[in-house]
This record gives sequence, structure tokens and C-alpha cells, in this order.
Amino acid sequence: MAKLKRDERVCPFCAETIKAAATRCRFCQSEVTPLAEPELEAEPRPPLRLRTRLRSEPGPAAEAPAGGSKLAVPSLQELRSFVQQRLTLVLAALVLLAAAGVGVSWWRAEQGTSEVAPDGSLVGDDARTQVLVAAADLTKRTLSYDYKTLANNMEVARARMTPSFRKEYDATMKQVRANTEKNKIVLEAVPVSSAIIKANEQRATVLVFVNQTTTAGTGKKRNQQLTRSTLVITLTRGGGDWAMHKLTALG
Amino acid sequence: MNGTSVTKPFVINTVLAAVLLGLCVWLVLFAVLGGSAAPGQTSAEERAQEYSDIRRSARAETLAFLTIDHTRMDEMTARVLDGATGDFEKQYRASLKSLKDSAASQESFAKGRVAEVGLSEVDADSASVFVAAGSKVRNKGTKGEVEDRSWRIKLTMVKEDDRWLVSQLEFVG
Repeated sequence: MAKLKRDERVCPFCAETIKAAATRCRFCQSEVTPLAEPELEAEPRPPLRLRTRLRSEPGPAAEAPAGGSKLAVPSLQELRSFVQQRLTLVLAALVLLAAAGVGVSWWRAEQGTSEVAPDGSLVGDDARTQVLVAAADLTKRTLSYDYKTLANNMEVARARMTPSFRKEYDATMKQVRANTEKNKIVLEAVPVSSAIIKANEQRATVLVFVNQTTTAGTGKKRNQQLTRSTLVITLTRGGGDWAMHKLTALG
Repeated sequence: MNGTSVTKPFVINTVLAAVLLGLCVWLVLFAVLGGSAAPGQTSAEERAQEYSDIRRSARAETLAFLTIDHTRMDEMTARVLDGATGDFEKQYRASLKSLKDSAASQESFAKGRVAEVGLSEVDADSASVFVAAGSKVRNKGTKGEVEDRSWRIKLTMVKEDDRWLVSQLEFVG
């Protein structure tokens, strides 16, 4: 069998050597399927042909070494193209998915952040107005009290403070309480302006100009004093309302 | 024919992989940077930029207004007028002569400072700005001593030719 030439084959019926292109065995006259295609290796569709040949030639001759090597090359190629096709599909699907992700993120950037800039700063008109109003309101609550209603005033003020500022407020009020009641002091803070220094969704620093009238005593002994202050207040928000977190008076 | 049938899918896959990689990098940028990964400026970014422009102009104009050097009054006043418009510009121009005269006669020096700038209402082309400012003043009236003064200032600003200018300056009482 090793002496078989390239254009020869073995007849599956009589085992004699015949031309590969023969359609009939010249020895036993059996009809055989022609094979002869010396350039078989370069043919891109041989697996199909090989399979037909195997089906029509079930004899051991079909297992010739030449046939074996012919089988391996095209199937590797077939495998490669199969994988490449699948890879193209998978990649295309991933590209679509990623593009959809980018699209959604972009859309969110255009739409969702009309209230908040990418650096976190608050830019929405409504949100900023809320900060301005809260700053003025909380300043007024914190800095206004009347000796007649002191407990009530303090309760109202304390309701909108962070725990740390409440502690500070309590300590201060403890000191002024006796004096307030003794001298019948009424403190009235009027915020004349409120302006945002910086603000994000959780924290805002606001410049507040306040005019504070201190009235001591009643009737003829009444004594009034006006103080103009410049305050920098910090508000924080834990999801709900803004609360007073820090209050600093500028000189 | 054999060559193209092998290279074509390879080229397509390479291009797809490159596109995929690019998109993934972009997604990571969105995750890290948020909205600024979007090309161009979003309206929120534009507003944030506007706020910082207003702030910068307000600070510069307040400093120019509060700073006086009787030896260089032309330069000082030119700086104020550069950032002024409308009523404020008119009033300042009208008081230029008396301002220069009094600075000269009083031998005035003043160094302005801006502690805080806050923005109140802001529209597309106008803004209310409050400034906590101060100045260290020295003149004949202070007998050579430096006096520290604090000011509460309200600026009304307008946008003209892409610049924020002060159209009104008031001291808040």
C-alpha cells in the first residue's frame, strides 16, 4: 500500500491498485466512486466529499493514511471558521450591550443631572431656592428667642439641628438662659439676605446677613440694640429637611 | 479566495473587539467621572461654570472697588470701570473726580479683601450676589494707623458679551 502513487487507489472490492479517477475497477469491473483530485488539500469543501466517499466506500482502504491527513486539515479550517463566526456574533452582541450602556449613561448625564452638576454642586433653581429659604429660616430660629417663650423657642430651634450643633446650642443656651429671663431679653434675628457659597445635595454653605435686635427690659426701662452680623452657616441634609450644622460669625 | 475567507472574519472580529474595548473604557469613565464623561457640556455643567464665572467677577470687582492707592488712582479706577456697567458705572464715573480728589488730599490707602461670595438668585443674564468683604484703611483721618473695616455688599450683576459685570453695588445696612 505504501507504494501507491498519488493518482492511484485500491479497489474496495478486489483490493487491486487502480487509478484514483477510475469509475470502474479494471480488474473486477466493480463500479467505484472516482476520487482523483490531486489538489484535494487546497479544496475548501472536502469534508463533505470525504464523508460521501466514506459512506460509499466502507472498506478498510478508505482509512488510507493519505485520506486521514486530508481529513484533518479541512476540519481544522472548518472549526476555525465556525469559531470565528460565533466569535463575531458574541462580539457583536457585546458591542450592542456596551453601546446601550453608554447610551443610557449619556442620556442620564443629559437629563438626570439638571439639578446637580457632575462635580456634585447643586444647580437646579428649586433646589437652590430651598437652600436659601432653609438657611434664612434656620438662622432666624437659632438666633431668635423671647424670655416669655424661651422653652418653646428652643424646642423649635433644636428640631432642625444636627446632633453636634444641638450640643453646642444647648451649651450656649444654658449660659444665656438665666440672664435672658432675669433681664427680660427678646432677641429677634432678621435675615436680610441669604446667598449660597457652595452647595451639593447633602451639604450647603450659605452666607447670611442678619440684623439682630436685642431688647432688654420692658416699659420705660426698655433698651434696644441692633447688631448687624455676617454669618456663614453650614446646613446638612440626610434625605429630608435641611438642618443647621454649623454657624460662624465673620468679623 | 482561501486567503480572503480567513482574513475577512478576522478583520471583522478585530474591529468589533476594538469597538467593544472602547465602549467598555467609556463605561468605566461614566462610572468614575459621572456625567462629565458625556461629550460636550450638559446644561448642569454650563450652569456650574456660569456660577463660578459670576463668583470670580464679583470677587474681582469688589476687590477693585475696595482697593485705593492715592498715588495710582487712574489705574485703580480704570480697573473698577472695567468690570462695571449700567447704573453702577454711571455713578462711579460721576464720582470719579471727587474720589480722586479726596484720595489725594487724604493720602488714602486701602487694601480690600473678600471673605465670602454667595449667590442668591441667578438667571441666564442677571444675578444677585452677596459679598462679605473688608478693607484695611490708612489715611490722614486714621492718623497713619491701619483701620480694619468690614462690609456687607450686595452686587447686582448682568451678563454682557459673555462677561459678568456689576450694574449695581450697595452696602447692606
